[in-house]
Amino acid sequence: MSVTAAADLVPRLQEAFAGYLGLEPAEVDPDRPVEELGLDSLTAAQLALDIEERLGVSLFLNDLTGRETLAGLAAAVLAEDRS
Amino acid sequence: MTVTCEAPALAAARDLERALGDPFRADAPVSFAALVAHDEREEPPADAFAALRAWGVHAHLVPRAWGGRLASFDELLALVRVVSRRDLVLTTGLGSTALAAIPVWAWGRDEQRAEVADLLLGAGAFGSFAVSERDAGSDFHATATRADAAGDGYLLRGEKWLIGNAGRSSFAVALARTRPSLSLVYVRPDRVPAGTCRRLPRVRTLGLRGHDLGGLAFADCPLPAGAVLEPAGRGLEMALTTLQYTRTMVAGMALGAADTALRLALGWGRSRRLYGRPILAIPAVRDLLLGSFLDILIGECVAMVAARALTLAPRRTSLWAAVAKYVVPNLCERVARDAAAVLSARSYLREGVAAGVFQKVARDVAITSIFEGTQLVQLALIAAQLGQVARARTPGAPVATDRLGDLSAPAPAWDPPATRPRIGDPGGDDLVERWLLGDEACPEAGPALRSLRGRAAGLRAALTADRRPVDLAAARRHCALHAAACCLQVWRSNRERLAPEAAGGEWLALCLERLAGGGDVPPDREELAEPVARWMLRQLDEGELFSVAPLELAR
Repeated sequence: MSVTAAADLVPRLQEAFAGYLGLEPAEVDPDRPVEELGLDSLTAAQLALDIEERLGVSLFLNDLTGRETLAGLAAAVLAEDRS
Repeated sequence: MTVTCEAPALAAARDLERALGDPFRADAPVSFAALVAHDEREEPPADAFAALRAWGVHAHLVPRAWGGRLASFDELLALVRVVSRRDLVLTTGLGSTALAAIPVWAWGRDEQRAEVADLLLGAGAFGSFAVSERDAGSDFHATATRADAAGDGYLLRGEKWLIGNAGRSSFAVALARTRPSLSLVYVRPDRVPAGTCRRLPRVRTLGLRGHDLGGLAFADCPLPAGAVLEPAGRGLEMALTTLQYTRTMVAGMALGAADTALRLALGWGRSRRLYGRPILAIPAVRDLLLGSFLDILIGECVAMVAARALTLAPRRTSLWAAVAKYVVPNLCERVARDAAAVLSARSYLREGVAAGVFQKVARDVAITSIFEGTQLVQLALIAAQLGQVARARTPGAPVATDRLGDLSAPAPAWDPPATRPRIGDPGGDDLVERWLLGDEACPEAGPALRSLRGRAAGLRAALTADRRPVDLAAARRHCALHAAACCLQVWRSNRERLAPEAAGGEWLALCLERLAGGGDVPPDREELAEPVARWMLRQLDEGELFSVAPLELAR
């Protein structure tokens, strides 16, 4: 699967996060800091592995401060891919 | 010879038993007398390690693809049990080596795999899994050791402490900060420039006095470009995945120690006479030790299912290995405590019965609930995963449970390169689903089954009712339910092949009653207790490992 624009990636991240949070994808606010989404560190790490497996993009959630948003992460991941 | 469950995964363990000899005999190749003497001197049992090397135990740490004999983990579990019944120092040394080797098999480069295979098959070398630090034990995120890019490779800086085999390891796998995140790095301590990898002084401990526990200090230690295991940045995930294999083997270590504790207590109960009869004839003594036998059977069912799941249901082992690591050491430490109650003053002597080995077993077994993640860490891992299951919007694909318990066919061989880092799985606990949340009939299970099913339903309702984080008490409750489900599965998968004393399923009813009663209920129902006690004593008399499936010990 190739994801080329943040606009494509954000809904996919919302869906992946929603699966682990017990929410509908639309309920995951892409502009809210990830630390406010309520993931424990173990679940966050497994979520990152699942995102890598399903979407082919590498997130390192352990490196985050928690203040990042999904929209910001999507942009950063794609910028990293292009560099 | 009674016709009983023939488990092919036990063949290598039988052969190893014969090679090591009866440890109760002072002239055996590996004897309790010699092991106690090494313990007294706080030195490694070099002769016992040599006997293990000579038999070829290291080949069982090397997958077949690299010239070894490691196939399924139920076979390795049996080997761990027979070595551990002699001395946990042996399996701790080998286990630390396995911890370092597993990530290399799974995520290393071919030349690293060939190198580790040579070290193990040729020299019977030791390895170190260098994860913990003075200020970073269970919290991997606190890791301060760094591997910074430098030239074509890396410079490793930092100190790893409380590391197994640190004074003697020929290879190590260390957790270090990298860009991005954390990675596992492969190190050859003897192949780096002098002074850049220092072995720290040995650490003195309560038990395992012959174990080489220490640390490794890296000072700008240069590593080649290929030292970081791929994918870089997934070191924490790889470390947690690796621990799923070794945690399952820790259950085997605890079972081995518990076997010796019960064997000593039963032998003493037979020979010690008070009030004109052997103390084993006193109902309270027999019930205490029957309870120990049940604890071993429960622990074995949990450990065997977890070991088979490593290749039959790898997605589930993030949960099941943590449960096994929590449940089995707890049970086995209780076996040691109850055996001490029967051995009474003899349990406290460093001489006498079996060369005074009991006090060593009791000190050593305490490590099984501490290393590879403490009991609180296991409960936290279990709680996080139960939360994932409760919140999952789409249930994962189910796992068929019959093969997990079927001891007549070995589990499939491990395929290391196909192993993905995986530290959670919202797929649930299929064993609990089938046996305690389903309504499959099992008349032999007795009245405890209904009570356990009520608890399983109650726990599920509590977990799905709200989205609060799951607490450790819920994780603990899940552990007891999983253990009961493992007993039910092992019974169902093997009932036609069990020993005559076990064929009626009385042991199953008693194990479930023990789990439903929180564990401390003495078996007070004689019609159930009598055949199980006969089974236990026959295993003692015929020299078999205390087990559902017979494994003949050296005589």
